Amino acid sequence: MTDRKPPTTPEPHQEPSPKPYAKKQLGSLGPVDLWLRRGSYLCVFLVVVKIAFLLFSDAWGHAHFSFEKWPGFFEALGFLGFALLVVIGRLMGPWVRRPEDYYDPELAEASPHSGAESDG
Amino acid sequence: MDEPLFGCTVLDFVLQLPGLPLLLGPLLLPFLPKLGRQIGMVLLPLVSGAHLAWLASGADAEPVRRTIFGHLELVPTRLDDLSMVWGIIFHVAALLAAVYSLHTVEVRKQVAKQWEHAGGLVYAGAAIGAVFAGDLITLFVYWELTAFASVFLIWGKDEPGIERPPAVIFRTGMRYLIIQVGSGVILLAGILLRQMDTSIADPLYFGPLFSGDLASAPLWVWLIFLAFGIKAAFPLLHSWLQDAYTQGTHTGTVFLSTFTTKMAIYALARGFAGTEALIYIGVVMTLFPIPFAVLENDLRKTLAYSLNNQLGFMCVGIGIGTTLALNGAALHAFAHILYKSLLFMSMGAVLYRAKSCKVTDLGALHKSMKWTARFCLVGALSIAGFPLFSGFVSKSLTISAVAEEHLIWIYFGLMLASAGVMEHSGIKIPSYGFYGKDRGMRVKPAPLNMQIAMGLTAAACIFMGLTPGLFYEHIAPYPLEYHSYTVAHVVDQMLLLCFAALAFLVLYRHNVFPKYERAISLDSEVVYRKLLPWATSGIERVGGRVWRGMLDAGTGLFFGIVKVFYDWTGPKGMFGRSWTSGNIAGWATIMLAFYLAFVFFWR
Repeated sequence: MTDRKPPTTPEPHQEPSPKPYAKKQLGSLGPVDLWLRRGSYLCVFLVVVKIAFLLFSDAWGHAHFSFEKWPGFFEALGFLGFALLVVIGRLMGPWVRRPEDYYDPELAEASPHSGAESDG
Repeated sequence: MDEPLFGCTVLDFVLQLPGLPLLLGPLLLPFLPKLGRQIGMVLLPLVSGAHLAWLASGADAEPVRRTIFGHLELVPTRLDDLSMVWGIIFHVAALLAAVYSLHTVEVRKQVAKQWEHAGGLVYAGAAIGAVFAGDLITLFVYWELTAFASVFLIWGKDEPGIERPPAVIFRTGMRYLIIQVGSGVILLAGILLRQMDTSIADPLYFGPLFSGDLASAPLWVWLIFLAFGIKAAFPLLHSWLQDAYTQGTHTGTVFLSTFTTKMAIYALARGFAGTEALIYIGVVMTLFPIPFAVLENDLRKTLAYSLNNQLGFMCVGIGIGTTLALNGAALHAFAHILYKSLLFMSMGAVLYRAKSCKVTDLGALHKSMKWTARFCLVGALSIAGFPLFSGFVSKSLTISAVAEEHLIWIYFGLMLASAGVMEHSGIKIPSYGFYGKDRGMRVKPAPLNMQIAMGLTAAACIFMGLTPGLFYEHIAPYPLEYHSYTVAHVVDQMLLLCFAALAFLVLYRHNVFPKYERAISLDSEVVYRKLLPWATSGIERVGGRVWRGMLDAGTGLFFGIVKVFYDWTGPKGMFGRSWTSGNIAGWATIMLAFYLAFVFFWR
């Protein structure tokens, strides 16, 4: 007699990452997500380098504006400036966005995927 | 006439024109077989470059003046350091773009495609002619020729499957032509007004035209400035660029992105160096396209906005007008042409293979277009200004020039714009173009000639980033002593860019980014694509109603009066009841009137 086992359902595939966002983000940005996460270690490194240079070396040279030598100035400008421009873009969106055939009615029929589709 | 028409023999005149092989040679291309056309397309920029080298070797310090038609003094060929920067890079870009578009050379069937290639190369030749033009009339001729030649790049036929309805393409080309030719007409008006001004010693010579306060400038300055500004895509005059560059063929946009705007930047650098207004225009130009680029779904349109933003950096440099700033503007144009061509090439390859370059259609193309994705990354790192890439060594010149003049708000503006470039070109283009969400799209890799062109351009970007000294010494138009790779420059720039990238990651995680939709954004083009047609149809509607009303009122009044008379004296009116007695009374009245007149005059 062959021993008959009841047919077992395959184990449901376990999500490897417990982080709620990780899979989704990796899916929509691909390797860029990974590069950017690794790149954020560079931020820390650069901050340390700048402070070390300003404290222990005079190789930094002459600055035209005093704020160029403040630690945190370029960091803040990069981060907040970037965020500001993106937020402006986001706020502007509902005001300026129009359907693709707004100017050219021909583009409505030609479009292969009609309807809005969002990313991420 | 004894005097020759061109001040010399025709042959001498023509042979001295820079870019001549590119102006005349392409006209033979449509009649050659396939292989001949391919060889011709690669050979012509090379021959033109050799021709330029020949001209430069025999050039005198003072450019030759020729008297045309007996009285018009022209300087068709002026080879100096400033025009040479653009001359060299235009040749390089024409060669790369020609190699890039080799695969589209079909057998004779496709008429539109044949003239597209010819148009692209003539366009390059005209732009080369324009930057070596020593007088305003020659500049005007080439200025218009670039418009007419380049429209074929928009009207050209593209691969089947790419969404370009013929009616849309035709209208886009017409709008492009109207604006570009319009710019030339405004330029001509400015030139003529300048010539009428008797206080100017040499009114046609294209040297520095003006530097100072535009508010008190004469009208011709405004007209020429406006003509240059239209082609340089100043804020509010810019939307032709995003309109046309999105609708060009996948190879045509590579040509388009190089010549028109940079020719205008050259013209500004030559004519308006040190005009303060350019600094403010430039800063606005670097900043306003960024939110549009963030929102945009079409990646080629995103690149067009980013092109606009890069032109702003050059305008700021020209507006400052110091030697360092002008060198910065020229070298930035040089580097910009390379990396912007590279980015447009990679997006063209995507468009060619995936039949779309919209964020909502693309994803994970790096799995099938490995090398194209890598070249795109080189372009993205260059435009963002990472050290070791070309954008860094050219952009830091302009920023240093701003810092030297202590223009603090301008400095802030340019830094903000640098962070913004990181978003739309540095991260968005490669990540959504190649590395985005996998939608199961698998395509063939880009054709070999495209990959060669992209590889050469990418190599040029890296080469410029690695050996800036070579370019500072040999390409820069004015003497330049500058070190871009100081600790301060490198670390500060890296800090700015890395924290901008960090901001991208954080904002992305928190879903701050606007969602990409199949949509367009309203831009200043709404004025002439919606508002003006609406206004003219409104004038027609309202005016028609007013006219009709006036007509109705007038006829109503007339017939009303007639009706009143009719009602009183007609068959049914009160006076109509007694027509016979009325008649007698009438005749009696007339007789009495005659009698009265007789008595009065002949008494």
